[in-house]
Amino acid sequence: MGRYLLKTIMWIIPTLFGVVTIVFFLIHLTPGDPALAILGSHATAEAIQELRKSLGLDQPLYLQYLRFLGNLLKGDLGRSLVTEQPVLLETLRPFPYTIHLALAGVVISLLVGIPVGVISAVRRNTFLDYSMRAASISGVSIPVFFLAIILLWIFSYHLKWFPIIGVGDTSSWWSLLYHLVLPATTIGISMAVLIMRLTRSCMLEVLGQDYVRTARAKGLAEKSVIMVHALKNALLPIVTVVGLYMGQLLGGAILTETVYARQGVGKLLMDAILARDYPQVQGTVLIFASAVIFVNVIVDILYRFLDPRIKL
Amino acid sequence: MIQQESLREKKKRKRIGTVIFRFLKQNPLALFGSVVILITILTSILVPVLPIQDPLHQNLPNRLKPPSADHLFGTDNYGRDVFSRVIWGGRVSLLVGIFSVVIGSLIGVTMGVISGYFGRYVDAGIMRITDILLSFPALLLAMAICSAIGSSLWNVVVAISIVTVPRFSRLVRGSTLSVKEADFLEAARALGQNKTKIIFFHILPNISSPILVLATLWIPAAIITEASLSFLGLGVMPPTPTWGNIINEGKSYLQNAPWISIFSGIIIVLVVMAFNFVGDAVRDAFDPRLKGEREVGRG
Repeated sequence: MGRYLLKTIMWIIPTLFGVVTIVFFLIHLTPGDPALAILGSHATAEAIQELRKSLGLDQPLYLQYLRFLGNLLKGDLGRSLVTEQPVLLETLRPFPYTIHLALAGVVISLLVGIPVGVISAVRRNTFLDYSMRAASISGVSIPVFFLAIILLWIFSYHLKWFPIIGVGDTSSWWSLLYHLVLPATTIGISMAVLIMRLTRSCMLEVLGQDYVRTARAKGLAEKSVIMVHALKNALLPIVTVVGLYMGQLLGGAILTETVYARQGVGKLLMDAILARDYPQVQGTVLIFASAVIFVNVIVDILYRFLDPRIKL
Repeated sequence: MIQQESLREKKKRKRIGTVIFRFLKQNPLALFGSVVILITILTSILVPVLPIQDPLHQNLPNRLKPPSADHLFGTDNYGRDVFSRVIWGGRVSLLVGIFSVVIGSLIGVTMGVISGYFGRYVDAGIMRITDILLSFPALLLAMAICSAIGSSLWNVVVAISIVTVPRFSRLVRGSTLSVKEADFLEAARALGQNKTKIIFFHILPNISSPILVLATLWIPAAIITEASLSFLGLGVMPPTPTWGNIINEGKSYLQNAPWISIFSGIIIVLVVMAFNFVGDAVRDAFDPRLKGEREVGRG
């Protein structure tokens, strides 16, 4: 156990370091002078020089990099050029909205994906199975942002059942929930099709195992064979893969937030990119990527805990 | 001798032809997919000579008109013909999708083979880079690259290629490791063949099927990523039409002119689905172990 944890940590540190390095140099490769971009083309040469100095842009790149690393260790990601607030604070403020969206999306996708996958596996090669598989392959082929637009068009513009934009009135949870329905359904559907395919193939594998045959031979009801003996064993890989979809989930969240104009982290990132607010872009990308790394590690550890066959 | 050789070649080609024919006959979905892909590629190549309207021609009095005989998919906010924009957009989207997978897989395969074959420090270094690239969500990495190097057609290709590379290098490293210890490689080494020859004539042919499968499944993923980038305004810039930016422009007119976004979206879904049908069938035929690989490609 101890050795495994040590190994994981030894893996996280260089990976995080690599991510930080890539993001830093990517952002600083950007052609054009950020100071010029902030002040506009009418600014005087002195003003630009002044700003460059205060941002530390006049120093050589490696010094900027070292200073960035140093600040990062202190938890300082710099200040946003637009709001002049610390980047970390700016990023954490809209975080709850993105978490709401992601969690609600995952819950919907599990509630839809697992039962449909189980039914599809149990009724293998029937009309029901074929139609569910056809639905899932169409679902896999729909880009998340287009799904969001279709739902928006049908349910907000046509039927007027749901609001068009925003996260709603932050003081009322009812309003928050109401504004969450369509975006969460978008994410939910786009993940459910993946989970359904996965559940189906895991179930098919488990249903072919000896212990399932034993359970049937004992004369157990088919329902309990499927629910207890098969599904329980199929759930483990499903849970793991859901964790590994984290990156995709965040990508989907960025697109969904853009369509529904939700003030989440994805929209923050888009706004920062468009405003050329480079410290904010840098910070948001870093926080996103680290979140994915940590979730993957946690899922890996959980998997090892849950699966007695794997020795720690 | 030469004649014999060419006869053998012919026989071989015929055999490949029958194999493909039989494969498509057994997989109606793959057949449908191939037909759609073929039509899309042909129209994309022939679009300059097709009798369709200029996708950039503005006709303001005629703006936001619903679909009609003159404008199959209606007109957009500048009075441009949406049908011709979607057809021209397909040219860009398909080009980006195919090119970025070709470039990304070439680099990824090279890295993977080197990593798997030479092992040790080279392997550790390449796999570290792969791990780091894989820890970024695909769309996020593509967004970051595009916002850094600017949005042009080739920059989008570069961004999506970089996202594609680690997927291939990891797969190819694993496959290389599994054939590395095979007896026929031992024999080739014993005969004194050099490393380049071993890699090109013995390793690559033996790991080509998983590479082919991953490539077929990554083309639709690359098309979706390109569309997502253009939709966010980080991909190919208007007025050049791509499927993503047509949907983005139409988004503001969803209330009065939904046809701008909807038609273009339906075409993306159709083409991506066609690639997925073919990809699934190819995977089942070649390598059932790859199940689930595609899932990494979305988002």
